[in-house]
Amino acid sequence: MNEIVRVSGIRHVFPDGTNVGIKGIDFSAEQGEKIAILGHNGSGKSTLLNTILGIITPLEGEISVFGVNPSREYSKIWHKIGVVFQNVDEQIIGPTVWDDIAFSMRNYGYKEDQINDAVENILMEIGIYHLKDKIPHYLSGGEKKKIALAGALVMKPQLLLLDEPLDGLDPQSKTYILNLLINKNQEFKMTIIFTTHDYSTAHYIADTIYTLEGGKINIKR
Amino acid sequence: MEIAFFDNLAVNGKSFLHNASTLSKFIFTAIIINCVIISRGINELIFIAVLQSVLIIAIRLPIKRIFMAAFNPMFFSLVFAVTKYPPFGYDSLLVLLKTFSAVLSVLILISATPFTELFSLLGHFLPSIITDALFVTYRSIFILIQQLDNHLTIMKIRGGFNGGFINSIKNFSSLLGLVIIRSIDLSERMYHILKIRGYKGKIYSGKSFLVFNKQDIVSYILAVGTIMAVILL
Repeated sequence: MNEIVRVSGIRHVFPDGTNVGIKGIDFSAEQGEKIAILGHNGSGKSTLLNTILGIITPLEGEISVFGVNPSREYSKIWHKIGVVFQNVDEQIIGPTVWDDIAFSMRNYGYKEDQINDAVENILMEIGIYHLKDKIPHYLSGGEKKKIALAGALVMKPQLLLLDEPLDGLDPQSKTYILNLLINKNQEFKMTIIFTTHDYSTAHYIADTIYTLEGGKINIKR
Repeated sequence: MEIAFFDNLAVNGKSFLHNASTLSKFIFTAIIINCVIISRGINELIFIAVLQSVLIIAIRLPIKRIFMAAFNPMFFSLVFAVTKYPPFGYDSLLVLLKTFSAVLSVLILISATPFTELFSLLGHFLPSIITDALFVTYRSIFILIQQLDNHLTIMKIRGGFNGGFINSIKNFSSLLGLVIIRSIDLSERMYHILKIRGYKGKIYSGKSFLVFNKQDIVSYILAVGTIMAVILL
């Protein structure tokens, strides 16, 4: 299998002096793998995801995503990545739910009929078709999470990064989204990396579980 | 001013102005603002304000909320008008009316045009660095206003405005400082997010701004009518 992500021994210092180090074994993800990163609040889960995305440039350590350093050559890889951030308000851009989900496809030059088909399908799959003409600002946190996920999945990314994707969802939606992610993973051999502090969620979906504790990364299964 | 409120009007409106092309609406707004600038008398300005009010009613916008939003920037022009032309007289009134009509023009434009269509049009004329800055600012304002609102509520609940005037001012200043720091961080994050979502300095609205229809004619008739009125009055 192809290795998509490898991270080893990274350390990042935030402007306020907070030092986040992730030492121990290497973190790696192969094509089609579903990986959970488990850890308490402040353990460095989001820092690890942002490093993989190239938003954070670590002071130390090695990082490779699709064979390149993401903080230097992000333009080569970002079109292969879908992401859902913890605070989804920051990533919802379109004036309506439909426009937001179509945003990336329009930027990457897809034709309008392709966009319409893809957006309609993903809205149906996620069960938010009834929200298509709504203004995202007025929707609930859980609904916004689903929109952000739809915006990421519509591009059929090779790598899907999810930062606490199930926070704010009701139990029924949680199960539905988890099953949808499993289906998408099987359908497109999509690599999924997600952070969570819920062991049962990690256990339900992940092939590999990494734990982050006290600046050390370990593999659980 | 609630930006989401204007977004909602722009997206869900069904009037002739909502259906007109973005370019026509932009030209219409530019003509009205120019008429406001060249107007030298109260009569012309009152005519423009009345025309705008009729238009607001005709395109079914909530006139009360639009007027309320237009009065916010008028506070600053009032300060200018009073200090520049004391005591308050004819010239001061001119300044106030000009501000009112200019702001109304922009509010009508943003209430009848989804912001992606506006930024998409601007992207054809402005350098991408300016559209980037405007777009990121616009999106950040949404989040920052909501945050400021939440912080204010929490501060009230936690007694931040008790303990006298000085204490309230002190707490409010730290709150503003916090929002400013947060806005810098937020704009940086939003720029990354836009890049990840494929943004390359141009907004694609999925609608060509060059497609004209019969609805556009009404906006041009109104614009020409305003120019004639300003010249004749």
